[in-house]
Amino acid sequence: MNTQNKEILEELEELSPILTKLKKSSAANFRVPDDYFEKLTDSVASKIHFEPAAVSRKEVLTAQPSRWAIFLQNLWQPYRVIQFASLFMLLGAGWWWMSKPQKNILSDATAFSSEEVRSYIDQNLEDFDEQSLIKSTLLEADMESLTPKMEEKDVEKYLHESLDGLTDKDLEKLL
Amino acid sequence: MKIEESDGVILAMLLTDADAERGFRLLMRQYQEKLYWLVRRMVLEHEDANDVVQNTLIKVYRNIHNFKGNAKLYTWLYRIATNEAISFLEQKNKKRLASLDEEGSIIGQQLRADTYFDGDEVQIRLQQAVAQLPEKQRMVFNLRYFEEMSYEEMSGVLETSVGALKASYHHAAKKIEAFFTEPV
Repeated sequence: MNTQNKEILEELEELSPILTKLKKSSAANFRVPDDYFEKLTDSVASKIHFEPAAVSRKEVLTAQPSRWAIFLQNLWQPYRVIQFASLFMLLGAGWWWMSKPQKNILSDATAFSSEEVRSYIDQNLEDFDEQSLIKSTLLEADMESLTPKMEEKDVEKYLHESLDGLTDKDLEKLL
Repeated sequence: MKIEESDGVILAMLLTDADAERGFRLLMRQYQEKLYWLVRRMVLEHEDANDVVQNTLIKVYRNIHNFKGNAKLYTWLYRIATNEAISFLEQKNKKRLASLDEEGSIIGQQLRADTYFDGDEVQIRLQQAVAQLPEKQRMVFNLRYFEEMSYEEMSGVLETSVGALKASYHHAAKKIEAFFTEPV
C-alpha cells in the first residue's frame, strides 16, 4: 500500500468505520465481459475512421494563407505576368506616340534656299496641281493684278473672235 | 508488464497525421480501463458505461488539439469523462422523472439484474446511498473512495479547490454513514 492509499484509508477510518469495512469488500463487485478492453480499442477506432483532418485541423487552419496572399499568388502566375507586361508595353508605346512632338514642316522648309526651291519646282512642275501651286505662290492681291479688268462686252467680243477661228473638230474637243 | 508510453510521446503521435491512429491506440491502451471504471462507478450499468466511455474517447480524439498541456493528460481525460457521465445521468434522470427514494429502488433492481455486478445486498445498499448524493458530492466521493485519487489531482479534474473538495468528501461520507445507520 503506497503512502497515498494509506492516507486515504486513515482519513476514511476517522470519517466512517462502516465505509472503511465496505471498502475492503467493494473492490471487485463490478465486472466486464471477457476481452472487453481489447475489443473496446477496436470498436472506438472503427467509429473514428481516423480522418486525417481531425487532429491537424488546427495546424491546417493556422497554416492557411490569407485571402490577400492567395490573390497575390494567383496574380504571380507566368501567364498573368506576360499579360500584364504586354498591356504595360502597349500603354507605354501609346503614351510615347501621343506625347511625341509633331515635326514642323515649315521649319524644315526654311532649311532650303529659295533658289533650291525654284529649281526643284521647275524640275517637278508636272507633279504639282496648277491651282494649289498658284494659291501657294501668289497672294490674292497678285492674282487681281494679273487678271485684267475687262468689261462684259469685251469678254463676249473676245469669245466670238475666238469661236470664229475654231473648226468643228476644235469645238468637239472643247465640249 | 505493460510498457507505458509517456504522455508526450502519445500526444506527439496524435498530432501527426501518419501516427495519429497508433498514438490514439496507445492512449486508449493506457487510459481506457481507468476511464471505464470511473464512469462505471457513476452510471453503474456496463452498457451505459460502455456508451459513455466510447463517446468520451471519440471526443478526446476530436479535441486533442485543444489540450493545452498545462495539466496532466489523464486529468484532462478524467474531466471529459466525468462531464460525459454527468450529462448521461442528467438525460437518463429526465426521462425517468423519479424521486430520490424511487431512484434508490430503481438502482437496486438494476444492479440485481446486472450480469456484470457481483456485489451482495450490502454493496447494493452502498450504491443506493451514493446515488442519493448530490451530483458533485457523488463525483468527489467516487474519485476519493473508489479511485483513490489525491485531492490535488481531483482539484485538476473537477476544477475545485482542495479545501472545498475535502469538505465535500467529508459531507458525503457522513451522509452515507447516516444512510446505513438509519432504519430501512
